[in-house]
Amino acid sequence: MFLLIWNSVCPPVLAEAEDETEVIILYEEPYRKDNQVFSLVDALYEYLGHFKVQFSDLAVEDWKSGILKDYQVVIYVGSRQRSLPESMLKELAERPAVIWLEDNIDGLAKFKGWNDFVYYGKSYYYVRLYAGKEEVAIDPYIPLYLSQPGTEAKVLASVSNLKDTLPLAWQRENVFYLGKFDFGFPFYILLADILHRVLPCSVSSSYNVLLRIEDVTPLTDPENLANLIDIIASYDIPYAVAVTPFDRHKGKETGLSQAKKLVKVLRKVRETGGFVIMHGCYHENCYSPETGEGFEFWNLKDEKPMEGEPDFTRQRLEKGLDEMAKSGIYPVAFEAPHYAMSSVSYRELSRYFSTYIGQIQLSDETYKASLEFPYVINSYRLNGMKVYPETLGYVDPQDIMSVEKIIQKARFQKILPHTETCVFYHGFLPPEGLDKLIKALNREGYKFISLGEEDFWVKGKALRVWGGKGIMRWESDITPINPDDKEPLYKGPKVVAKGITALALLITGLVLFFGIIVLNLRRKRNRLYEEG
Amino acid sequence: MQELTRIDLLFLIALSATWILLLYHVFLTYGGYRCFLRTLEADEKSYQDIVGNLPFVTVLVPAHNEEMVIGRTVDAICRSDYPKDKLEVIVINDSSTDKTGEILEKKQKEYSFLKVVTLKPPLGAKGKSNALNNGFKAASGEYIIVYDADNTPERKAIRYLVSTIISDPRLGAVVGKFRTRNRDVNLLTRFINLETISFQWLVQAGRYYWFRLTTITGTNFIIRRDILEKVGGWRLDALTEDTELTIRVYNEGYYIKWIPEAVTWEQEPENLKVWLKQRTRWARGNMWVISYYIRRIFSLKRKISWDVIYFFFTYAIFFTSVIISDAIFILGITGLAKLSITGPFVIIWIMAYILFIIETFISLSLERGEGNFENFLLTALMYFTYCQLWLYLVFRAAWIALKDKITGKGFYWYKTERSAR
Repeated sequence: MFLLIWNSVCPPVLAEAEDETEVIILYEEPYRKDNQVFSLVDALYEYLGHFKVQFSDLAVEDWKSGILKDYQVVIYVGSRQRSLPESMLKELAERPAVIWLEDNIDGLAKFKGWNDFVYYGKSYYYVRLYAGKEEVAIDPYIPLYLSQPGTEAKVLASVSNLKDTLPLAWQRENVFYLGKFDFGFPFYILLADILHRVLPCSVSSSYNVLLRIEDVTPLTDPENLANLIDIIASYDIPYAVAVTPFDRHKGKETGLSQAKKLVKVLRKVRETGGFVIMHGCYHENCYSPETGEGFEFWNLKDEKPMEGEPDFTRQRLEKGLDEMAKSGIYPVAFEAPHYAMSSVSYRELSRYFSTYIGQIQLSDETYKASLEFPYVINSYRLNGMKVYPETLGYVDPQDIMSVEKIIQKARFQKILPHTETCVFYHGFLPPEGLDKLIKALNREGYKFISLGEEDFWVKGKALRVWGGKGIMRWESDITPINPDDKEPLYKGPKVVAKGITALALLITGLVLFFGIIVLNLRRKRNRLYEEG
Repeated sequence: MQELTRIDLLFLIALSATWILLLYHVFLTYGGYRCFLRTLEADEKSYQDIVGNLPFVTVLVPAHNEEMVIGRTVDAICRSDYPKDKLEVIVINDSSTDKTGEILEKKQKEYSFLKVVTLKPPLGAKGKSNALNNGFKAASGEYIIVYDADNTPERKAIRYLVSTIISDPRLGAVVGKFRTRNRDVNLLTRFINLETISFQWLVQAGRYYWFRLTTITGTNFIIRRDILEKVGGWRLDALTEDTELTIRVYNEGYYIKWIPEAVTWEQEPENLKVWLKQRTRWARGNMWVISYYIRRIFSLKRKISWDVIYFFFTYAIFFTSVIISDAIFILGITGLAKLSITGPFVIIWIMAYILFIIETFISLSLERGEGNFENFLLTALMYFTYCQLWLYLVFRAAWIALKDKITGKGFYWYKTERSAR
């Protein structure tokens, strides 16, 4: 019974394959002409990280006869117009499944003898996209590769220019076609949809969202955070809190362990079904020195990785973990400030954390080459780390349509057989927006997920955290503070404290001594007057 | 151990500097108290012994448009119990455009020993030093006494000054005490009264008791004629010619004594504008003297060089420290920068406050009728009001001095405006 439903919702072509499916990406050009830092192939690698597949890539120039025969699935990236050789088309046509992206589909159609196939090629001015029961507006100025795939084709998504409606994504025989290969909303969802139709995936069908409270720093108002947690707890849903363990402001550093009230609130997170994410160490660096707003593992000023990687990264990770251990707050995942990190830092990070939250930076040349994806992946770029995606964004109190915009994206994402995503709410915002957000996501049928269900581990020098299935264990060499301890009267080096005590004693003595002098003077004066 | 941030360090340095000075003032207060005890033991007999051998002295009174006060001043000086055949009073009428000249003419008829030296531009109106130097030219006394034009010395003042200076050949000058005549006019004059009493008992008497150091305060003092001749009189380029003269007297190998018995009553500014002008002149003058001598510190005699350093400390380091700690306090409130060290700083601050009150109150208790509850409350108030004005004033003076240095402008002597009180 279960299998039946599963297949009806998500009938992947290769679901029954016994061995792991082999996928090859056959590409014309790895980069768009107007974007030489965003690798289409690298992005596809990340998308494939969701499926039980093996994958590799090949440039069309390097293709040799027979090379495609070893693969069950070919993903052809038609990022440049050309006419493909007959023998290659033959190999492609014989694969169990071909995913064709953008240009040159007319060649394959001709080879296949689809007489009713009409190819329009690059087209503009389409303003609406329809997929499943959903529709969204699209930018009319972006090019789409459109065709009329014939009566035998099954249309998966179509676009309209208010006059004509044409298929943008379709399936005919073993060919799955998508006329727009783009990693921006909403096209990446169409890509994910096609991948799900072809590739085997073991995730059950549901719409999952990870709710996280973002940017909690030692200076966050503990009362406000407690209010947010109370709201979440009233819905009895799991959640996560992203904590930056240090604040550095104008030369002054505050550690989480110094913010005792906040520590008390954060310690309640586990009791209410939440898990903690370590959100950088300082959320700043010398190039964007604004705690809670700055980049930490990226040199924003010069658009390059931080100097001294990976030592720099290691030191910050260790320092952050130590401070969290000292506070008795144990993270289960990591999230880089602004999701910005170089490949070297990613590799270092993967030694410390099993789990990452957020978008993936695909380039070491700019943090702007950032990749969104609509499900959990095992990231190639992050050395196999499990990555929870970030697609829905956050509630912006300045924008009254903020929650509606989130919901629009969430709704469109539901054309997928299953999806995972994140949405976040800043820890310093009043709780009203959070309530509205949870209600809206509930209405859309989204299920709130916990970071603790899947296996996770964190390995610091002094702190190790691991677990899964809702259970978290840890081992720490650092004794956590007791947040109920009173603040010491003196904070600072002992010699200063001693100096101050000595001064206080001296002054008390002096005041007494002077008091005696004043009394003595009064006595003397009285005598003097009498004599005078 | 927690590391200190730069702000912490700056704060601690400022705090230490402030407290070094506060504790030094504690030390001076005690010196003033001891000095007072000594005066209780002194007796007047010695004056009777020397009355036959009293020297001839000249009193110099520089006056520039002083019609409001000059008549009374001359009367008070001439009423002195000093033998009139040994007294010469010279009023320097320094380019007055009011009735000062007329009044002096009238007074001359009254007092045979009153001389008037009249200065006219371009010779006159060049400040107090110039007037004094010109008066000094006409003086025939063995000792020179100076009074400001708004002073009314007590009858015994001159003989106390004279009898003291002739008692020790190493004494270059003797400085008497000045009191505020118009103290009851308003809150400002009441504050000034407290300030003058505490300045004299603390800084003057305290320093004299411990180090035999006293600053000439510009009025009610006596100085040897030969010293003035040797050092070439008063310096024209000093705004506070008295402080400058002090340094040269010490540098000649003499010392200066402060005696509370010789009393003069003077009129203090009655409104803030006048006060600010006068005190800015003092502050600028003292800064000039300090910066002039701090650069020549190694050519000075040791004792006075310490005093120059003390004044340097007061003006440069103390005021900077107070401003630094205030700035840190404000930065802390506005959240721009915070101290990472915490401690009973409020308690320390309260202690400094208590110390200030008790120090001042001891000085007041040394003065008949001033050690009362009303003055105690005034002292408590003074810390937040009058003392803060001084902060403003010193920085204003420093700013003006800096501006003048850049523009190359010289100073102008603002004459203190008087009232008829």
